[in-house]
Amino acid sequence: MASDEQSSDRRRFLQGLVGAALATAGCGSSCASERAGRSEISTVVTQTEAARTAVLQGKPRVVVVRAKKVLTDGYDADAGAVRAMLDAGLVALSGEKNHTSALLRYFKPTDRVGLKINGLAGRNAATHVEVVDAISDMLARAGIEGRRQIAFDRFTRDLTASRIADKSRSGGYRAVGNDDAGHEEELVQMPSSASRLSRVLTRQVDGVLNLPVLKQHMLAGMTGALKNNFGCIHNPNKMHVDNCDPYVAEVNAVPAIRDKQRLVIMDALRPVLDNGPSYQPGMAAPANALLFATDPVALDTVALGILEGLRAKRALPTLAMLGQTPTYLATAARFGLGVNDRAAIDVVEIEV
Amino acid sequence: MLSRRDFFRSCGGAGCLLAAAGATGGVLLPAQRAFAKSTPRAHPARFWKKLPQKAVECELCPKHCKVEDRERGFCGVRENRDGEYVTLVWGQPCAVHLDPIEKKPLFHFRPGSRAFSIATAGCNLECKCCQNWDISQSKPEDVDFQFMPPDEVVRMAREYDACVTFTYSEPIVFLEYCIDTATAARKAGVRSTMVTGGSGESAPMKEALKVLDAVKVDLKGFTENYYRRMCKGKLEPVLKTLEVIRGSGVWLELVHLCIPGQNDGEGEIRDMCRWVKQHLGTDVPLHFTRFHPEFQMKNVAPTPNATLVRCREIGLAEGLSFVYTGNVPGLAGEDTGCPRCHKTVVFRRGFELLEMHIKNGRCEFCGAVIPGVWS
Amino acid sequence: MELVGKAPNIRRSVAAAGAASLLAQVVLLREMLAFSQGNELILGAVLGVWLCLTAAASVLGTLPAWDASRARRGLYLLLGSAPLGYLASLALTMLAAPDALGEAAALQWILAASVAALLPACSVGGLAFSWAVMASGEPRTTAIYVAETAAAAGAGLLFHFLLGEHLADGWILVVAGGCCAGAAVGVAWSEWRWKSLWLPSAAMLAAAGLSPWVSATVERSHFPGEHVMSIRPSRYGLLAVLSRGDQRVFSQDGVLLFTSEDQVAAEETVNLPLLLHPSPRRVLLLGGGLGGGLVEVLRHDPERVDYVEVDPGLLALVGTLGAADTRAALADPRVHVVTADGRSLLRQAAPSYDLVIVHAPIPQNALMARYSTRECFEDARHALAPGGILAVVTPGSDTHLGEAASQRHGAMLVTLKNVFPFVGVAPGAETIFWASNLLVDARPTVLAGRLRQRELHPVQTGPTWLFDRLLPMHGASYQRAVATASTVESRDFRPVVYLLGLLENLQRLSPRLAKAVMALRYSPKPWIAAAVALTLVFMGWGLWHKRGAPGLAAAIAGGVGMSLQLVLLVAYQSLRGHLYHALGLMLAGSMAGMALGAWLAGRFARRVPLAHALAAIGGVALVIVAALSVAPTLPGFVGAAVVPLLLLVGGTTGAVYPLAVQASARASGAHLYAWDLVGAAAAAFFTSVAAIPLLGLSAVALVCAALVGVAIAANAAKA
Repeated sequence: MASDEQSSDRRRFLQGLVGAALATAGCGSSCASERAGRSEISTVVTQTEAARTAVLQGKPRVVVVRAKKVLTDGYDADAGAVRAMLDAGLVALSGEKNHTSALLRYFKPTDRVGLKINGLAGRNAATHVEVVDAISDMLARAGIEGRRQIAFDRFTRDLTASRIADKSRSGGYRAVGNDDAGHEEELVQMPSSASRLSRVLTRQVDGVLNLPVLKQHMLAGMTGALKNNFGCIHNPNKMHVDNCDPYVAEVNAVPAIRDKQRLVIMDALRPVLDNGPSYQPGMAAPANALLFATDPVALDTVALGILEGLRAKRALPTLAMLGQTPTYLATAARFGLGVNDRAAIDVVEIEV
Repeated sequence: MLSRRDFFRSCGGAGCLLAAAGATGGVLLPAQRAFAKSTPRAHPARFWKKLPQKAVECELCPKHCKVEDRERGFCGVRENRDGEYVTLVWGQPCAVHLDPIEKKPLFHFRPGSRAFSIATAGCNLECKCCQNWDISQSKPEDVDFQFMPPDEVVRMAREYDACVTFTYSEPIVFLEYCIDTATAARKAGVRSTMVTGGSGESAPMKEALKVLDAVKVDLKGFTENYYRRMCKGKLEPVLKTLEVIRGSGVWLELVHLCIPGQNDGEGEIRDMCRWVKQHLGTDVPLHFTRFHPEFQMKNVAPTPNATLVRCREIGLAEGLSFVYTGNVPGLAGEDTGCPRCHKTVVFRRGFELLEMHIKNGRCEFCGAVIPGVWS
Repeated sequence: MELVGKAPNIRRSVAAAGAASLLAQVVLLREMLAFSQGNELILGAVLGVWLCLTAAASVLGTLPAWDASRARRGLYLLLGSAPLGYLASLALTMLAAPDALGEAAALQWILAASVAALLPACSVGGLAFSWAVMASGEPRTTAIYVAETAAAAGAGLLFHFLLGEHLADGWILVVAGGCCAGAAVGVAWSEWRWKSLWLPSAAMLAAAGLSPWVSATVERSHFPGEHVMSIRPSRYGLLAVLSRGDQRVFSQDGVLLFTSEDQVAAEETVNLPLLLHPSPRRVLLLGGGLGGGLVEVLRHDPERVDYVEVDPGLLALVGTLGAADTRAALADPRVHVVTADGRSLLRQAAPSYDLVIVHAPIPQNALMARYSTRECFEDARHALAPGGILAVVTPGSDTHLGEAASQRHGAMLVTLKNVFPFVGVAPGAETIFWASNLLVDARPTVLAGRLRQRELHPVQTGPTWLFDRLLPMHGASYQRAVATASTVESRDFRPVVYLLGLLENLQRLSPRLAKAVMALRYSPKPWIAAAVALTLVFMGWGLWHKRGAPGLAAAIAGGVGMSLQLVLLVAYQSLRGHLYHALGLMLAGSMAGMALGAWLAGRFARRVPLAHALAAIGGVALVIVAALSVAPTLPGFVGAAVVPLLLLVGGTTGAVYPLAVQASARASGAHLYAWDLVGAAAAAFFTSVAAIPLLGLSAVALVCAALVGVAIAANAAKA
């Protein structure tokens, strides 16, 4: 009896163990069948670590070209010096042999090119007309005739005040204000706001050469390549709250702006150091520099360093101390528009 | 006598329980409502009468709800307050939308134009297939409403160059708002339309028809059994409403939502078409539209195309001039044909107007009058 | 305590009844699920009804004061007539059939129908346990419990490997009835010999004869008045194809999947996402392709389309009975059909897709909610090529989003925004969310231009539709509706969207009940009141019973065991996807663990206080919390750890029952069995429907540990 009971105990214990073993084995086999399923997936796509990691193909390059003497009388610039700076910058940025080949890296001969200037603060703080003329000439040599070049900004009066409109001539580039060309009817929705785009941008150009001016900005901290694109929308006045963040980044993320901008040449010949973006006598200082990049965030990051350096020489407090840090740079980097880490930017300094 | 051990045991257990409750509550409490719970404003209602002991009887629809003090009628949006009946949805739409007029569907009313559509919560029916059940089966305090008085509605309609349309839920239950808004619209030169189930009393309907320009009625079925089982309503008052609307001269169109196996039988469709022809005339457009699974019929398949085509053929065979299929773009039956020369005078695809060959209300080809409101 | 009894046939009989009970439970629950259109809320409620009815029957079975002989006779009659009882239950499930195809029956009617339908089957299970205890003597309770649980585990294996996919429900119940009939003979053979064959044989013959008719009648009741082209079970449910003229209707467990004539619906779900990308060359479509979606995708001329459909049975059906254009699309060389879990594919895919379209219907269960979680969106983000777009299509409203729908949409929006920098939405009956690392140009003119470029002429989603859909006014209304809604993101281990989907479905069934449930979410007062009341009840109970509260222990052990099982199953599903056989095996493993645990406890009962056994459950709950914290980073760990953890859960909860029997001076084994079932019933409903989606898996395990603390405190007194 006792042995019967014991054997019965053992039987039941074994029954339980078998059940557990079956479950484990079955699960293992189902895992194996899942591996079979996984191999089916692998015929579709496979993963590699490199594919998973978003790696930038090399560092973005920013070229800073300085000249010993480029400004002549007040704000005017020497055309020859400007041309030399442009040539050096374009070659250094692109790695090509001359400025024509360099420009053809960014624009096709059949393109219609928009020259997005900054004319807001008038003649003393606008994009130098000498710079615009020189680059226009270089584009023409690259096969993009003057009639397919449009210098544009928000208002015709700004183009006139900066003398860019004055230079408008047959065979040369046109100068068009958004108030003249108009804006699209449809709003472009952005996460924090919505705007209508300039029709020059959307209908009259295939690529944009951004020509900002380096200026301190009382609300945004700094205005440069990214902020210059506020001139492509109809309502930038609504986007000057919260240090213009995230509005600057969002505007630059708009596909029509992001995708058409091919090249940035920043006018830092005489940046505005304080009380910007408008010009006040004594608030600008010569830096005699032009900056070149395809990555607008990287360019602005380097330009910020130059601005802070100039302000320090004037014993002006840092932007951070004034609560004017341009935080939109980090937002733009987060949006994938470029790199805002100075260490991750290849800065080339050239003196001509 | 409580021992120390028992005391600590109980405290320990209670502590565990409270910890569990705290963990639960700590996670739950941050939940917040989708929209702020607002108290709807009351507005004097019309179309009711007093009863003894502060009760009231609503006379808006055939249900004739007898409502005690502090109670509401079946629709859930009209309330008895101290013997006075008020509406809780006047000026408080919860759905505001801009639609093509063809979506209502109104095919003979300014094709290609837009309808600035508004609706409040509530309905005097309870259709199992309701496409707007979210608002029709809700009380005003349960929906996200905004305050939009008649002038504001009219202003927005003008901004979008649209007519005002009372739709989605059941305009009969917010008839005061409809009438006031349509009156304001008429003064401003804006047209008004209504999309309704038609289950209303004649007197209020006549009042509304004075300021409306078009009405589309959902003729949901053609048997009392269907109305009772599927909608908790009655057919007969709807038929009466149709005759009232027809008699008023306001433009009328009908829609029959074909639900497979429920109201798409050949006999029922034929009876319906014959009644329409006899009582309303051959010129009243009749739309057979495709059912889309919703509410308590989420797993009923949509109407087969063949059913819609068959229903349309029955309607045409019974002598109706304008019979359409709806909600199936590309299916035959979307276009308007001239009843005389039979040429297509309006080409549509879905809600899109493609071409129109009607001038001054007449066929461009043969000059026959095409009934409707074309401009 | 002795486990080896003098009537081994009783234990075998109960084992057979346990196996039969499990088979009947699965079949009948599946039928009820089909009648309630796959609503997990209903499933939880019906499971609770099953467990409560079984518990009630177990208690009722103890009322007659029978000796062993009478109990044996009662057991014989019960088991002998069980084949007919199970068939009666199957037939009674038709009470839950709605008036018309596809309609939802009223919630209260479904519950009433489930009580009526499950009563015969539950009576067999509950009464069999009680009478088996009486027939073999009270000390045999544990042996009977072990036998029943182990046999149920075996039946689970049998069902999932063999019966589920190959036999109709009626025949599965005949097999279950056969187990009971055999058990009846075993009970009475020693007394009546050949006479004992009469009743079981007659019942079996009648059941076998009636089964085809009952099965066919029940099947037809799912589709009243319809022409059924095919009904077949698949791994994921009962598939059916109906025909109405040229239209083919595909459904699964009564839930409408798609029809063959629905180009409008297909266009509305895929065209907008395809137009948002300037040039979608590689597209991944997760669900929604067989109703015409795949055909629409191909119109945009991509280079490659990967289409994921997890159910090979459904693919096979569509391959033979589906619409011609869908069949052609499936055979298109650009289309690669993957029958695998969509989440696994996303996780392993290289960043190569220009467009990923995820269909996220209102989740009927936690499995479906996996496509609306942060982890899913993160996987999708990694699978996108530069400039790629994730589109999530989910039911919404053309005009007004209700409370529950606003919450669900809000949760999805928040979850998307936490993963992607740019998120847009086109509200509508099918709402489309899109998300990308770059801002997407969604201007209607741009999209209409792409329509022209691609030479497309859709019947519904043309330029007018685009303009209407993307009208800023409609977007603003929608944003207002969801702006203050749920700010809690949905995670795999805390599927908030699942709960909100259930609430949305509850609103359709019973708007009043939904409103009450939603109010509970917002107001702390009912929770505080419940916590205070329970605390007072507990303190009173703990003080009253000097010897402890074994009933409370059994209930909490049953409930905690059920909850922890659900936690582990949901964790497995979230990370590894739905692997039908594996899940069945896991459940079987859990039951085997219970059998083992009960046997071990019975063997060493005198040396182990009940409180210690309860502490073991608490310890396992804490181990599960730790495992859950590492599981997302070690998905392989999940596959290896789940079965051992289920065995532990089963083992520790199974051990409580015999110890509770020993510790109880008042309650009989049957009563404690009933307490166990009641606890499990409450947990089945509350945990799966509310606790997991609200609290998340780790918090549920912690709450379980806390509740075990309650049981320990109640039973800390020495015997």
